[in-house]
Amino acid sequence: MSLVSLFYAKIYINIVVSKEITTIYVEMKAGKGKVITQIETFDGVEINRLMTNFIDSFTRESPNVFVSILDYSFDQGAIASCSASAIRSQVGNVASVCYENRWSFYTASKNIETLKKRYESIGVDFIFSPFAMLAQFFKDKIETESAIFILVQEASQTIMIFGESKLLYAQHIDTQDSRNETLLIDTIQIDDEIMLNIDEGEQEQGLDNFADIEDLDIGGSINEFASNTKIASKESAAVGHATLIPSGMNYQRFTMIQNALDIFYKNANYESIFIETAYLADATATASELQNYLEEEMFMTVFVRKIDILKTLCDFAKAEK
Amino acid sequence: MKLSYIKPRRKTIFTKDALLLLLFFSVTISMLIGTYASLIYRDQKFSDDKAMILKQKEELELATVKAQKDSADIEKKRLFFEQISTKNSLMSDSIQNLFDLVPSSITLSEARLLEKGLVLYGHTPSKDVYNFMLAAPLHAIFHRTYTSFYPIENGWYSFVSTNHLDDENSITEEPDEE
Repeated sequence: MSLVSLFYAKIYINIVVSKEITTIYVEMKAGKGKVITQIETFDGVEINRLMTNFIDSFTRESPNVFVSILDYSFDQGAIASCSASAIRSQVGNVASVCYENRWSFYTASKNIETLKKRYESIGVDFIFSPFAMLAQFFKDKIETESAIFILVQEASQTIMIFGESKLLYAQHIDTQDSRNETLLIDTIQIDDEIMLNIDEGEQEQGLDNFADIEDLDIGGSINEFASNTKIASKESAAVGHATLIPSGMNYQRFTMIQNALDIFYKNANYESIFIETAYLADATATASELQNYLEEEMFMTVFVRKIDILKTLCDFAKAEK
Repeated sequence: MKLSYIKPRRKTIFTKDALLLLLFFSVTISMLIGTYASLIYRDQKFSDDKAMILKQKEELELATVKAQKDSADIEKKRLFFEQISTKNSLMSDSIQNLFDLVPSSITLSEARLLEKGLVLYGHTPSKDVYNFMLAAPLHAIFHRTYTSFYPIENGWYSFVSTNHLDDENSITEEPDEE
C-alpha cells in the first residue's frame, strides 16, 4: 500500500462518452470498507466547467484519484498477435497492449494524445479499450466457444470473433459515423438485390452445400446454408427489413454486424469459421431487439448479458497495478 | 493485469490544502524555533556577560584589596615619615637647644646623640665653670647625668658628659656626680 493510500481514500473516476453525452461514475472508498458511488450525466463530449466542478468536488477530498476513460476513438482495433513488429507492419504506429500473450488490442497513438489533451484539466490515469472490456466480460465463453462477441454501446459497437480462444476478427464500429450510415444504405440496397438473386437462384439450382456460402454472404444471407427450408423465411425477413430499417438503431447495429460477418467470411486474410452463436454485452438495455434480428435474420443462437460499462471500467481501474 | 494503454500518474500526498497546511506549520515551527534559538542565544550571551562581569568584579575586588593594602602601606610610610620628620625636628631643636646650652667658655669637641641619651666631649677651663654653666641645664633635661673630667696640659679639663633619659614608668634614680 502506497503512502498516499494510507492517508487518503481511493477515488475512481470513470468517464464514458457516447453520442453527445458524457457519463461520469465516481466510486470512493471511504473508511471501514464503505463505498460511496455517484453517477452524473453531462451534455457534450468535451470536458466542460460542470464536469470539472463535479470531478473537482471529489479530487479536493483526496489526491488518490484515478481517472479512467473508455477509448471511444474510431481507429482502434485488435490483432491476433502480440509481436510489436507484426502490429507495426499491419496497422502502423499505434499504442497496443498484449492480452494474455494471445492477441493485442490497439488504438492510434494520436488518440491517446488527444484523450490526454482533452482531459488535461482533470488528468487521465487509465485509457481502456472496449476490446479488453469485451474479452474480460466474456472470458469464460471465449475460452470454450467459437462465437461472435459484441459489445453494444449507445454510439458504437465492438465486435470480436473467437474460434477456439483464438482471435479471428475484430472491429470497432462507430454507429454515429456517417460513413457507416452510407455503408448501411448501400448494404441494404445490395441486400435486396442479392435477395432477389438468391430467390431466383434457389429456384434454379438451390443451395445445399457449404461452398455456396461465399456467394450468399455478400448480402448478409449467410444463414441460408444452414438449411434450405430457411430460405422461405429469409424471404419474409427480407421483406421485414423495409419496415425496420428507418426506425431502429438496433437494425442499424444488426446491419453492421452483418457487414462485419460478410467481411470476415469473404476476406481471405481472415481464418474463417462458421459462426452460429452470438454473445451480446448489452450496455444500452435495448439489445433484445438486436437479439431478435440476429435470431430471426441470421438464425443465430444469441445470448445477451447486461453490462454496466461504468462499473466494469471502474473494476478495470481497480485491477490495474 | 495491465489493460490500460497508459500508466497512472504518480500520486502525491501533497495536495494544495496539504501544502498550505504544511507551509503554515513550517512557518509556525520555524518562528518557534527561531524564537527559541534567539532566547537560547540571548541567554547564552547573558550568561557570558554575567561571567565576564563577575570576573571583572573579582578583579576589581582584588585590585581594591591591593589598593587598600598599598594605601595602608603608604599611610604607614607617611606615619613613619612624619615620625622621622618629627624626630628630626625634635633632634634639630634639641641640638639647637644643646648648642644654646653650651656657654662660650666651654668648647665641645664631640657630641653623640643617642636614642635616649647624649654624650658630650669637650674642654672646660674649670670644673666649676662646667658645673655652673653646663651641668645645671643638663640636669634639668636628663634624668641621669654622669660627667668625667681629665686635666689637660694647658690647665683646662677635658670632660665626658654622659646623659640619659629614663622611661616614663621606670624609677628615676638620682645621678651620681664625680
